[in-house]
Amino acid sequence: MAAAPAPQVCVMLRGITKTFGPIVAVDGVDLELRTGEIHAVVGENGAGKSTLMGVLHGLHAADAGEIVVDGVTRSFRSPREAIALGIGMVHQHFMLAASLTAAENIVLGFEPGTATRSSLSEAVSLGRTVAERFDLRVALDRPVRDLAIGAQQRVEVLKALYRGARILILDEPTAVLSPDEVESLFDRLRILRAGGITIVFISHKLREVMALSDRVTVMRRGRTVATLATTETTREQLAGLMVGSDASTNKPSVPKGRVAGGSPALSLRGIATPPRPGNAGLKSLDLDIAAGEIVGIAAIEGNGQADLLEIAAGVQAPLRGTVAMFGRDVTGEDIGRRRDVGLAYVPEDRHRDALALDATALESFNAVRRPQHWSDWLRPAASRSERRRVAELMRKFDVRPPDPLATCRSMSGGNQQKLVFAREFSRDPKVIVLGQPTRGIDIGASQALFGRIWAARDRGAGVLLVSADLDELFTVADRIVVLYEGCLAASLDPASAAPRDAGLYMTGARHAI
Amino acid sequence: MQFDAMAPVPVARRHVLVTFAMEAVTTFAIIAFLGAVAVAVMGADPLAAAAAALRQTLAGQYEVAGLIALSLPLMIVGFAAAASFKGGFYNLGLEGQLILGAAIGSIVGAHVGPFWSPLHIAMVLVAGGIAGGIVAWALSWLRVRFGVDEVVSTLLSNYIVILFAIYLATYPFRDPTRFNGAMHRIAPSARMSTLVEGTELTWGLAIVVAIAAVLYWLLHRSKLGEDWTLMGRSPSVARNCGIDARRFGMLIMTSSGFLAGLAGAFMVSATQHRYFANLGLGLGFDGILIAMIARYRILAVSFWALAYSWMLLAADGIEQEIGIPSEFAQVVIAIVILGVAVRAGLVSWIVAQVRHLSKPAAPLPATPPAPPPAEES
Repeated sequence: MAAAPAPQVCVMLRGITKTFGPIVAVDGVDLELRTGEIHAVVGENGAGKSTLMGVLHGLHAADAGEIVVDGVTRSFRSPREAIALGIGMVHQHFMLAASLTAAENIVLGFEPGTATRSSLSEAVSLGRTVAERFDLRVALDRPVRDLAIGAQQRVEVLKALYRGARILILDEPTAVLSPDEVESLFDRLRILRAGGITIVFISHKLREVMALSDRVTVMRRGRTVATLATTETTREQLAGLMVGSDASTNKPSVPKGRVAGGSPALSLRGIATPPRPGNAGLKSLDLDIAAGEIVGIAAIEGNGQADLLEIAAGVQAPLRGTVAMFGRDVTGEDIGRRRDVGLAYVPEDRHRDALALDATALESFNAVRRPQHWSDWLRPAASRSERRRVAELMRKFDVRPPDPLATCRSMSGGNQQKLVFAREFSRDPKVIVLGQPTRGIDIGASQALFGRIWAARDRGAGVLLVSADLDELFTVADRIVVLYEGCLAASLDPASAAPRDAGLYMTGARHAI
Repeated sequence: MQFDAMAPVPVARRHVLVTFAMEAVTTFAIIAFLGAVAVAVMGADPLAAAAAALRQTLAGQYEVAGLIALSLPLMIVGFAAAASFKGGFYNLGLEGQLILGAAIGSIVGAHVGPFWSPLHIAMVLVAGGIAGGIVAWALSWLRVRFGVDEVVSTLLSNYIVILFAIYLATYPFRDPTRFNGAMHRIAPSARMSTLVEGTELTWGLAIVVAIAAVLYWLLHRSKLGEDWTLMGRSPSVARNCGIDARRFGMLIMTSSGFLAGLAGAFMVSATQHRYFANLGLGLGFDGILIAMIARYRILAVSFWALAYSWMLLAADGIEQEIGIPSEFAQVVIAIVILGVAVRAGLVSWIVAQVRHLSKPAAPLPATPPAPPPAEES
C-alpha cells in the first residue's frame, strides 16, 4: 500500500535509552509513527522491542531521549498518562478480569456514571458503540473466562479504543491465535487503520509482517537497524537485518525419519477427558509416537490439545484410557516419576506452569530434580558445582544473561523459554512433550530450539509437539495429526500435505478418520 | 553497551546480613519516632519514657533474661507461621493449634511419668506438637480432598479447638484445688530447669536455638526448602515440575501445626507449668504478624520475636513509670506493623526516585517480597 502523499507524523521517539541495572535494553532509539499506518516492529528476543513499547505507553520511564506526540514533547509517568494522550497497549498476556463480563472489562477503571454508582447498562451500550464502529464483535455480556482467546483479544483492543486510543500497540498479538483467528484479526486491524487508528505491531513472524504492515522497523540489540516500507523489502532482507547477517529463514534441510521397530516411545490408548466450557476434552483418543519420531498436533484452541499435553506429561490423570512409555504403563504415575524414566515437558503456559518468576535460574533447574532418597531432601539445594553446571548449560543454550542467580522475572520471554529448554533437554530425555515451544520466541532462537528437538529425535526420543503455528509444525514434525473436537481428524505427511490441508481438518470442514 | 553472552554479568548483590541490618535499623528508627510522638501526644516527656522503657527491658541480666524468656514461645509460633506462609498456605489456626498443644502437653506432663527429665520434657513437647499437627493435617486434608479454603477453615477451627481445650481443663483434667479451667500442675520432671536464677529464662532457650537452626537449614538451604519455596511461589509450577502438590501441601500445613502445638507445650513446660483457660490467647496471631514482618525468614523471625517482646515489655515499663496505659503501646505497634508491611514497596520506591535523580544508575535493589499466592492451581 502506498503511503499518503504527505504522511502526518503522530508520534516521534528520539534517542530513547532505557537501562535495567547493568543491562542497556534500549540504546538511543528513534522511531516515527505516521497517522493511520500499521507499523511493524521486529527483532529477536531481547532486541528491546517490548522495552521500547513500554517507554511509549508509559510503563517505563526512559533514562534519556524524548517522546513527541503531535508535535509536543511529553513525558509519561504511567500508562494512564499515555492513554490520556491516545496511546494504548494490548499486552501479549491479557490484562483482563476473568470473572467480569466483556463490557465490564472494557470500562474497567474508566466506568461511566458517578464515583459512587457505575452504570452497567451504560457500559454495555458504550462498549457496543465502540465494537460496532470498528466491527469488533464480542459477546459483551459474557464473562471473559468463557470467551475464546481471539474474543478476549478483541476485548483488549476494545478496552484500549474505549479509553480513546488513537495509537494502538499490539505486542505479539498473533502468538496466541489460531490461523483463522489471525486472519480475522488482520482484517479488523485493517478496518481500524481505515478508521485513522495508528497501529504498532510487534511480531517475530515475518510472513505476518509482510502481509499486514505498511512500514517495518527492525531492532537489534537495543538499537533500530532500519525502517523500511514493507513493499520495498523482503522476508529475507528483514531476517538478515534482525540477526545481523544475511541468514535466511529457509527451512534447514534436516533428514526426517523414524527408528522402526520396538515399542512406541509414547502410546496413548482410549484416552478420554471431561469436556469443559471452551474445551472439548478428548474422546477416546489413540495415538502412538515411535522412538525417533516427531508428531505435531494441529488444532484450533480448545479442541483437546491442552488435555493431550497434560495427559502425556502426567500432570492430569485421564478419565479413561492408558498411557505407556516404551511399553511400560505409566498411567498411574505422576509427572515426577515419568521424568525419572526420561520424560521432558515444556508446558504451554510458561508463567503458570514452567517457571516461577521470582525463582532464580538455578532454582528453576533444581525444581525438576526429584529426590530419590529421603536424605536427598536435606542436602544443600545450591552447591557450587551445581551452580557451575547450570551456568554451563545456560551458556550452551544461549540463555542471556547466563547467570544462575538471575531471577526468571529479569529475563525476556525468549530467554525464559531457552531456560526451560536447557532444563528439560539437558536430562537426555526419551519422551518429549512440547506445548507451544516457540510462542513469543524470535526466529533465531526458534531455529536453535528446533535444532535441539531434531537432535533429541535423532538420538531416539519420541516427541509430541503441540503448536498453534502451522508453519512450525510443517517445518519440525515428521507426522502431523489434526485434532478436532477431541478426536483425531486426520494424519498428514508434512512432505506431501500443505498447511492449508491441515486448516480444512482443523476447522472441521473435512474429516478423514 | 554491547552485551557479551559469554562474559559474567556484574550484578552487585548485597549480603543478606547487610540488607537485614538496614531493615532492622530503619524499622527501629520508625518505632522510636512513632513511640516518641505517641508519648508526646499523651502529654509526657518522650525522653523519660525512653529511659523507662530501657530500664524495664535492658537494665540488667534479669531484665534481659525476662525479655528472652517472653520471646521464646513467640519465636516458635512465628516459625510455624513462616513455614506455612512461605509454602503458600495461610494457616490462621495457629492460635487453636498452640492452645491445644499446651493442653495436651500439660496432660502428658501431669498424668504421664514422671520420667528422666529430658525424656519427659521431650514427650510433653512432642505430644503438644502432634496435637497441633493433627488439627492442621485434618484441615489441609479438607482443603486437598474437598477444596475447602484453608483461610476460612483454619480461622474458624480456632473456636472449636480452643473451646475443646477449655473443656479438657474444665472437666476431665481439672485440678480441683484450682479455679475453674485449670489443669493439674505438671510433674517436676516435665519442667525445664532455670537458666538464670530468679527469672523465667530456662534451658528451653537451647531448644529454641536448635529448632531455629534446623528450620533454617530445612527451609532456606536444603532441597526441601527449595521445593517448599516453589510451592509458595507457584503451586502449578511445582506440580508441573513433579512435586506432588497435594501431599506437599499437607506436609506444609502439618509441619506448621506441629510447630504451633510445640510452642504451646513449650509454654507449659518452660514457664506456666499447667494449661489454664487464658493461656496463649492472642499468641497465634502475634506469631503471624511476626512472620509477616520477617517475610517468612527463620532468622528474621527470631529477631522480630525478640523485638516484639521488647516492645511489649517497654510499654509495660512506660505504663509503670510514666502512667501511659500500655494499651497505647498497642497502637504504636499496630502502626509499626502497617509501616513494615508497606516498607518493601516504600523503600524500593524511594530507591527508584533516588536512582532517577542520581545517575549513573545503581544496581537494582533486592526484589520486594511477594505475599504467598492465595489460590492454588
